[in-house]
This record gives sequence, C-alpha cells and structure tokens, in this order.
Amino acid sequence: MNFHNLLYRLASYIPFEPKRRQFRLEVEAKDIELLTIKDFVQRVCDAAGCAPKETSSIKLAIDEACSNIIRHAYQGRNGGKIKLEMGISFMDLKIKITDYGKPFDFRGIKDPDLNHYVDIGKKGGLGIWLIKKVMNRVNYHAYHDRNELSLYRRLSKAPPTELGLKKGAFTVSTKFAVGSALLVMVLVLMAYFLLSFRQEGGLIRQQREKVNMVMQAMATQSGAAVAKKNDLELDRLIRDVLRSDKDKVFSYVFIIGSEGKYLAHSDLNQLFKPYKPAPGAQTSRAPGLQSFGFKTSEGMTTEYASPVFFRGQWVGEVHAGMPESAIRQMVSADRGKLIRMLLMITLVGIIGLYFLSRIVIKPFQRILEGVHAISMGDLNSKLDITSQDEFGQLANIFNEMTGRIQDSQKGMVEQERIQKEMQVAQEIQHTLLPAEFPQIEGYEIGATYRAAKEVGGDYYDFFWVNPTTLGIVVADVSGKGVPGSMVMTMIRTAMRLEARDNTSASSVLARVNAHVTGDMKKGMFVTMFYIVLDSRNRTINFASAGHNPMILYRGKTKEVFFLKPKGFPVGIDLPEADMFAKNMALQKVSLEKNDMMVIYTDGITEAMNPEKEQFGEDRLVRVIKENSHLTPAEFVEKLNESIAQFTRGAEQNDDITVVAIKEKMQAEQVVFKFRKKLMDLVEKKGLSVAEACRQMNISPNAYYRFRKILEEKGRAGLKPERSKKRSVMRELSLPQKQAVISVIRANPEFGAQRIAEVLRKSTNPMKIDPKVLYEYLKRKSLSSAQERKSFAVNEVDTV
Amino acid sequence: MENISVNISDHPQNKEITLLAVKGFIDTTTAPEFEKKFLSVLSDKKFKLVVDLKDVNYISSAGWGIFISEIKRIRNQKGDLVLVGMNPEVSEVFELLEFNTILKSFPNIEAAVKKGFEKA
Repeated sequence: MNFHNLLYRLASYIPFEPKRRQFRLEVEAKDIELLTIKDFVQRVCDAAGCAPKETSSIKLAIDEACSNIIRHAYQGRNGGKIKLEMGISFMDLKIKITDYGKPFDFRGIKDPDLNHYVDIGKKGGLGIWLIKKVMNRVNYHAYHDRNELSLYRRLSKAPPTELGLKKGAFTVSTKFAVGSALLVMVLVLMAYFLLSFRQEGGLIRQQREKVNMVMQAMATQSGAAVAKKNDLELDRLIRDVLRSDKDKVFSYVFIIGSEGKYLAHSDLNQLFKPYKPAPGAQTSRAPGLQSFGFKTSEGMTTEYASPVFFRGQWVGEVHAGMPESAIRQMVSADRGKLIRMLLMITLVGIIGLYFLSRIVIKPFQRILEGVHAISMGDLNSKLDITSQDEFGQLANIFNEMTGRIQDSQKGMVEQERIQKEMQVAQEIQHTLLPAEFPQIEGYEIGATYRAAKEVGGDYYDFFWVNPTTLGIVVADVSGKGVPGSMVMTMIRTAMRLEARDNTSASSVLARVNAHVTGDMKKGMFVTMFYIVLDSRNRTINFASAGHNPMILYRGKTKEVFFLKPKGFPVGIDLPEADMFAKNMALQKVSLEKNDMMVIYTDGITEAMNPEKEQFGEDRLVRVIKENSHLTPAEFVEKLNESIAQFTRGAEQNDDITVVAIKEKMQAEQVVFKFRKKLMDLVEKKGLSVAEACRQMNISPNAYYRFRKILEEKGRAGLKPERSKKRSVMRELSLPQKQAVISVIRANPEFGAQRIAEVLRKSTNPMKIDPKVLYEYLKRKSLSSAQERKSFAVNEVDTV
Repeated sequence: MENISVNISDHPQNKEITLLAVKGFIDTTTAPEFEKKFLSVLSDKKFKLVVDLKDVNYISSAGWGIFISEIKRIRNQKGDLVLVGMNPEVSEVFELLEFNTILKSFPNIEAAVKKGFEKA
C-alpha cells in the first residue's frame, strides 16, 4: 500500500462525505446485461478521467461483483434486479451495487492461497479477492430486503474540473459541521480570553485577601505566645498556617520576637537565629499589614509583615514570603483547568452539532436521492418521510408531484397511441387523394387540399366516367381518425365503381349511399358534392348529399349563385329505403367564359383566425369575385393565400378542400375541334372510318353526316351554330333571393308570377323567370299563400 | 454472440508447441466457451501451450481461474502454459492478482517459444 492509499484509508475514517457526481443504472440480473454494465462503467470512468488501466480494473471488479450477484444472489433465476450507483468525488469513485437476492457471508471469505488453487486445480472464488485487490475499501451490508456492496476506489488523478468536484466540494452536512465547529471554537476562544483575564485578576485579589486574613489571624493568635516566647506554640501555629495553605503560596513564614530573633520559622534551621531582614525590608511597629518586594534567585518575592501586640505592647512581628512564581503557577494551573473545560465543551459541541446536522440534513439527502431517482426515470420511487415538519411536507409534495408526473406520463403514452393512430389515418387518407389532375378537354380544374393538424374528414377525387366525361367528388366525413378514413376508403371505392358509365350525378350518389349505409357506424355520415363534367356535350350535372353549396360565379353578369340541390347526407339510416334517391335532386349547368365554379368543404368558411372569427361565405365570395380572371390553379393558390392571411397561423380544426372549375373554351369550339380531329384522322392519318369512329367514340352515322357538311360547306361548316338555348340559370342569385324574401314579407299573398312582376317593375329591375322562382318557393316551402303568410309573421330571414 | 474466438494451431517451426490465439474478452459469459476449447487442446495431449492474448482486452476472474486450475496438470505432463502479448490493462490485473508468480508471460510469441519452455 503506497503513501497515497494509506492517506486515503485514513481519510475514510473522517465522517465527512464529499460531494459526488452520481450515475445510476438498473438492469436485470442476466448475463447479457454484463455488457450493459461494462459500457456504463466505461462511461462513468471516462467521465471521471480514469486512465485505461484504472478503468479496466474498476470494470473488472464491478463485473466480478455483478457476476456473483447473477450466479449466487439470484442463483441464475430471472427477474432479479441489479442497481448500480457510481459517484465521482474529487478524490475517489464510490460504487454501490444493490441486489435483492440471497445475502452472502462476505466476511467469511478469505484471501485465496494461489498455490493451493494450483495444487487442487480450483478455479472459482477469485472474484471477491480481485474486488478487494482493485478497490481501496469494500463494505458489504445485508439488509432485510436488499444487499449493498459499497466499493471505493481512490482516483489516481483528480477528475475533470467540468464536474465541479473541487477539493472544497463537500456535502451540506460536512459544510454545516465544519462551519458550526469553527463557530464553536471561536466562541470558546472568546470565552477563554474573557474568563482567563477576569480569573487572573480575581485570583490575585483573592490571594491578597487570603494573605491579609492569614497574617491578621497569625498576628492576633500569636500575641501571648510571642510575649511568652513559647516557641512550641508558635511552631504549631506556623505549621497550621502552612498546612492550610493548599496552594503553596507561602515560600516561608516566620515570627520574630522583640529581641530580633526568630521565634518560629518554617525553616527550622533558622530557629533562634538573629533576624535577617530581607533586602529592602522596612517595617514599622504601627498596626496593619505591610508588604515589600525583593528579588531572589527565583524571581520576585513579596514579603508581608504584621506587628504582633500583646496587651497593647508591641512584642514582635509575623512575616510571610510569597514568591511571584507561586502565584503564576496557581494562575497557570487555573488556566489549564479552564482550557480543559473549554476543550471539553468544544468537543461535545462539535460532536453534538455534527449529529444534529446529520439529523437535519438526512431528510435532505433522502429528498436528493428521490429527485435523483426521478431524474433517472424511476417514477415509482417514493419519499418515506413521515415527520410533520417542513421535510415531511416537502416529501408529501414531492410524492404528489411524482404521482402527477406518473399520471401525465400515462396520459402521454395514451396520447402517443392516439397520435400514432392519427398518423395512420392521415397516411390512409393521403393515399386516397388523387395524385394528379386529369386533363379534360375544354375545362380547367384547380384543386387544393390542406389537412388540419388532427386528421379531418375531407376527401376529394377525380375519375373518368367515360373517356370524355369526368366525375369530381368533394366529401366531408363526420368522423375523424381511423374510422373516418375507413369510411372514406369505402366511399372512394363505391364512387369509382358506381360512377363508371353513369353520367347522372344524383343516381351515382344514391347508389353509393345504398352501398355504404349498412356498413357505416350509426351517427356517422358523409356529405358529398358530386359533379359530372361532360366535355363532349359541354354539360355539367351535379348533385349534393347534404353538402354545402357550390358557388357559381357568372363572369359576364358578376352574379353569384349558391347551388345546392336537395339531398340527404350519405350514410343516414332513413326510414324508407328509397327515400334517399327520391329526395335527391339533380341540377344542370353550362359554363361560359369567365364563369367559375367552386366546390368546397366547410373547413374553408369555418377557418378561424386567432380571434375566433370565421372566414365565412362573404369573404369566400369576395375572393372569387376579385380573382375570377385567374386560372383555377392560380385561383385556388390565391384563395389559400387569403385564408392564410386571415388565419394568421392559427391552428385549424378542419381540413380545407377546394375544387375550382372554369370553362376554357366555348362549347361550340370544343365541338368544332372534335369534328376537325375526326376528319383529320381519316383524311390525313389514313385511318379507316370504323377505326376513327371507335377512337373518337362516335357512331359512323355521325361521321358521314359531318363528312357531308364538310363537302358542302367546307371546314367552316363543321362549326356548330351557337346554341340559342343559353344556359338559363335554374337558380336565383343571392340578391334575387333577398329581393324575393322582402317582397314576400311585404305581400305574402303574392304568388310566383306576381313577385316576378313586382321585381321587374321595381326601381332596381330584376328579370326573374317565374318558373325558377316557383321552384325556389317550393324548395323553401313557401309555395302556398298560407305558408308565406305564416313565414312573414314568424320566421327569421333565411335565403 | 461473437464475443470470443479461439484459434488453435501448431507453431510453424516447433510442432510441439500449440498456439491458442484468443480474440475478444473472457468473462463469466465467455469463459465456458474458452474453457471448452482449452480443455479440448489438453485432451489432445498437447501440453506446450502459448496463449496469445494480443487481441484480448479483458479477462475476468473466471478466465484467470481456467489458467491456474489446469497449470498443475500441464506441468505434470512436462508441459507449460505461457501467456504472450497481454495489453497493459490485462497485464495490470495479471500482476495485481499475483498470477505472475505462477504463470510466465512474454511480450511476443518468438520470445515465448525461445524461453518459455526452457525448464520443461
């Protein structure tokens, strides 16, 4: 054992615990975990700045200890735990290994005799020896529920300064103990100076009084004896005085008679010899105590003298010598007593304070351990402090806190699960959305879809009904998450199947509804808007299953129409099987240049800004009006911008889906182009008539008709005449509806014809087809005068 | 688990000597594997053994135990077991556990072949 190790051993007896940087690991007691343990030890040793050799030894010792736990404490059983705690201090590494298995007799294990091993071929049992060899200190303690092996290894060099474990880094209890010890010592030192000063003064005064008393007593008591020269009596007196002088302050005492001879003397040799006054002795016969000092070889001596009277006559003198050294001795003896006493107080004080600090600090340490355990993720650790004081309160709060953290962690796990589900739903949904826009002759289409943070239920799709007809569906599923996505998948499949070769929007929706209603969960439903674009005939028909209206903007007249054909949402369990189909309306519309059709979900109108205001229909209509000149793709881009500007980054609850459709060419041009292409296929490309007709999906009869026209009128003849029947809007525009309502309010008895007439003649004339107006009134249940009257009285305006 | 491999071969010049080149580490988990190989060499009646520990970074007591438990049998057969190429970490433990009083060690195979079996 070298000097440093010896010093370290000695230091271990000081009951002060240095500050440690703690590392913890808890693993199952399995062989495979030995690798985890080794890695962990490596990391801690690296943190402590250990040299490779040192690390290797420490690793080995811990490996041995843990192997023993697996083999012996748990006897290879599964489910056991090994807790490994390593603490780096400025001087050492403390390793605490805890197991919950069988304890073993640590002390009973002797250092092995290697030669014996060699002789009998023994190979086990070297582990403990290795641990003892590697470690500077080893403690093993078996508690009732666990075994703790504490290993200490002195570090050959100080750990890196980043760990903040300088030499001064001690625990609070150590600091407290050292601080309080210093305080006690300062107090005791002060007490010493104060007391010793006062005591010295008092001692000298006390001695003087004593001398005074003794001298007076001697003088009075010796009167008769001195007069009679009774030396025996006087000698007894002196012996008495000396005997009672326990502190030995008098170096000599003598009595002289009137003849100037020693009648009695503490030194018997001087008896009856003539009195030799001390140097500087001056005595008078006046009564009272006199004193004078003189120097001797041992220092200063003060001699006290008192005259002795007998019956009023001076008969002699009593003298006593008191050397200063005697006083000093007495004082120093007294001081020694004081110092011993104060040292005693200091010692008791420090020990007392140390234990007091332990009592005070202990709960702190337990709280610290608890906090540490939690910081390592062990939320099951509870602080076991039941006292009613602040520590008890703190422990209670702490336990509550860990409980709450545990709860919230459980909540987090649940949330994670939900989030995962959402993610799956989102992935399903994304695969459902069309990857690319189809190109359809004569129409331009733009679409945008933006998912809300949580998966919403929007869905849109494009598919070919036949080679020249495109179906576009926009839908909103009432449910979110995985169930919503499942319904969407179902609807998508049904739509794609049913839409094929069926050009009636309402019929397709009815059939889809029949398909899916039985399979949908009660309470779930889907609103859908379905449009069929026929590029050949330039007609558009559409139907709505409870979806919000499609907006049609007429570029020429700058009118806005909300088109909302009747229809129940898909998936509702209706009382009669055919009610859905019966109730569903089909509308038709033709687009002209600069017209725009916008189909959307309520995610757009209900988009909210941070002030919880909704984007609303008015804003949507304004954006449409202002940007009707753009292509649909540009328009949806613009609309997205407007919404983003409005919401200012507020999180949206619902998906946003918009599909915009514009007429690119007039219907006549498309027909013209088609006919030209048909002719070209035969004439320029040399295809057979049958082949060309098949390619263009047209009957040979039609081909020959066009051929005739071509021959008669030339190419221009192929141009169809502009259709006389301009697309009459079978729907009232918003201002028209408002005007109609105000007329009904004023004159509820007016029927459709009269209302149309009133509006035609009003100051702001409006041309309304009475038939369209009648349809509107019928839809609003206002077709009879009775209904209109009750509406005018009771109802709130709803166009 | 490929934590240990033992390659057994005869020394090219001196066929009497068997080389055991160990790779990996020897602890409680790998010791049985090593012991199996080691004992198989002994049962082949090969007793002049050079264990090359150049590629071993770690030997626990379970490993050391195997060496010293068999050394007597080996020496009784006029053979010996010498260790070569221990890295500083392994060597530290070797000395710490005082195995250097029982087993001979050399820096490399050449030295071990030259001097390791003189007495035998």
